[in-house]
Order: sequence, then structure tokens, then C-alpha cells
Amino acid sequence: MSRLGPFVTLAAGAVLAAGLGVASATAAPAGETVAAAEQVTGATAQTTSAPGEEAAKPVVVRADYAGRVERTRALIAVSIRGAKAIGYFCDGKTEAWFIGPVDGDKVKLKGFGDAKLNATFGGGRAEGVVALGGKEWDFVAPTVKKPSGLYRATRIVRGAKIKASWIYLANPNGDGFIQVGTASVNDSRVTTPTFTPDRPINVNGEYVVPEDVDGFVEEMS
Amino acid sequence: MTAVYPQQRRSAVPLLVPLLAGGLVMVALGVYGRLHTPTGFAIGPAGFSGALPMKAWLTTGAFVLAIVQVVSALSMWGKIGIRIPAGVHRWSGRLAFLLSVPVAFHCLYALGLQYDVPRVLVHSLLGCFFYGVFTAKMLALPRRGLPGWALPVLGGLAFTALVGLWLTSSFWFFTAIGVTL
Repeated sequence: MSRLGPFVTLAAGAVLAAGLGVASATAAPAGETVAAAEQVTGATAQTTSAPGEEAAKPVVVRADYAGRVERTRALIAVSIRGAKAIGYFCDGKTEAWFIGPVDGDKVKLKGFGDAKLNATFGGGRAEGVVALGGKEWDFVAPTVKKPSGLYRATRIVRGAKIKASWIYLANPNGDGFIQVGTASVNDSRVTTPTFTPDRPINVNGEYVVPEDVDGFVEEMS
Repeated sequence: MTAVYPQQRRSAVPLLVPLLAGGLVMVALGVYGRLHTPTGFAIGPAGFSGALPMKAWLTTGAFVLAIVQVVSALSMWGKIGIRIPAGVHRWSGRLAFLLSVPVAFHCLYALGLQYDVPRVLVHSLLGCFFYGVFTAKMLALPRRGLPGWALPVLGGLAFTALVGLWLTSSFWFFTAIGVTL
């Protein structure tokens, strides 16, 4: 028995690694998670399907959308978490955060000043209008799954407040990822470092660990 | 003159297969780490705020168990005058190895073998080396007629590699980022 022990140990490690491999490869595409309408308080049931059955109509309770903003170099991300939605627009120079409640399959999110983001979502995509600095653009953003999505990092190091945000998006042509982001120290811009998922990122000499939406949604209000 | 013959012939030959297998594991992990396109995402144990804290803490768990390994090995070889049951060495080793698997899986599957900064280069190479040495140690254990130095050397290398891995990951993370769960 004890002569077999070491082989069993190696085999157990191999089986564990294989299990993690299968789980990771088949991980459910995050996309959209729907729930019956009555489970979400304050949400009016309104989706594309079955207009007659109010009670059973599914509403999106969790989703991540990201895509390009038409006629710009910007990317936009919209994430739904229960009754709360977060939006982020960034072209590498201008950035804007949006937040607001979910109303059925619509969001009307407010940003700083008169910036706003209105979108309708469901069926695998969000589409709408983002208005910023007196201009507005249309966008269509499909659902994305990890590692694509919205990331944010904040950290205070010796009194200096570091902030960085990125939208990271699988290239629609299948060739790697595209990204935009901004980084700042004490609210003044610094060079935006390249985002690599699940790795610490060096912002102006200090390391931060970007969080996905689940990691920072609670902090945003 | 009386010649003293050892009761059992000891040679390094029985080490050959374990060392070859370990070398293959080492190379295979490195090649996989380069050829596989990093996914940037992997399934792992839940309960941590992110993948990096999960890895930092599991590696720290393995590191603590590795110290138990050295102490219990010294006891086994009669070097410290305390008797520690053999089961302590076996099970602390198994547990340390199993704790390391989700970490290494995330490294290789989500991040790949990288060498953009020295810390990451050293960590990548040590990671491949560790599993090679560990495989060699496991395969050498049941073999009879090994030279007396074989298991201490393999175990010592595995321990050294693990300490290096902990320093270049968990310790770096806790000092550069902070101690977070």
C-alpha cells in the first residue's frame, strides 16, 4: 500500500488539475443570467418574448455588455447586477462612469454633469445612446464573458490615490484582445499601463490588482 | 584488512527513470506554458476576493507545510532527536502538493509561462522545476537500493524551489500589494 502511495499522490494532483481544466474550459458563458420577474423587486417585467405572461417573464439580473461606440475610438461597457447598473465609457483620453437603477430591460444611467447613458438590453446585447460633453453616440454592445469586461483598480499608497480603469474586449475578428483605459495618481493622469487579466498592474511604479465588476459594484454609488 | 560490503548494493541507477520522468514533466509544463494561449481566466477555489489573493494564500499554506516537511524529514533521519510519526511527513507533503495544484493550474492555464520581468521569469522556471523535482521524488520513493543522498537531495530541491516560488509570488504580493484575503 505504502509503495503505491507516491503514485496515488501524483495521480490525485493530475486528477485535480484535469478537473480544474474541464471546469474552466466549460465554465458557463457569463453572458446574461435571467430570473423570473417576481424575484426581482421593483423591476417591471419586460422582455422580448411572451408578452402575455407577466409573472413568468424572465428579466436579466446579471449581465456584462461591452462593445465599440460608433464613430469613435471609444469602448463602452454596461454591467447589470440585480437592480443596479454600471456603465463606463473610455477612449483612452476621456472617460466617464455611469450608474443608475435597472428598470425592466432599460437603464437610464447618470454620469458626472450632464453625461448620461440610456440603453435597452436583453437577447444577448445592449444598445443605446451615450451622451457626453454635448455630443452623443449610438452603441451596440454584445454580452461578453471573462476575461473580457470592465475592470477597475483603486489603491492608496503613502497618501497617493491611484486609480485605473480598463475595458478589455476580445477582438471581434478573433485576434487577441483590444483595450482602452485610463490611470491617474491623485486625480492627475499618468500613462495607462497595459492591462493583463489576473495579473498585478504597475501604475506609475506602484502595483494594483484590478477588480472585475463583482469586486467593485458595491463600492459604487 | 577487512573489506566492508554493504548488505545491499546501492547505486544511482534506480534514480534514472524518476529523474527522466521528472525532467519530462519539467519540460512539458514549460512547453505548455508557452504554447497554450493564456485565457486570462481560470476556475479555482472560491472564498477569496480574487485569483491573486487565492494563489497567494494557497502558496503560503504549501510553504508552511513545506517547513513541516523539512522538520519531519530531519526527525525521520534522526537529526533532531524527536520522533515525529511518518504519517506527518507523508500527509503534510500530500496536502502541500494538492494546495499547490490550483495555483499552478491558474498560472499555466490563465497566465502562461512569462518572462517580462525577472520576478516572473524566476517564478515561471521555478514552477516547472518544482513539479519536475516533485515527480522525481515521488517516483524515487518506492525504489529500493537508492543512494542515501537521493531522497534528501530531491526533497531539499523541492523545498528550495517551493521557498523560491513563495518568495516570488506570495511574499511579493503581500509586500507590493498588501495582505488581503
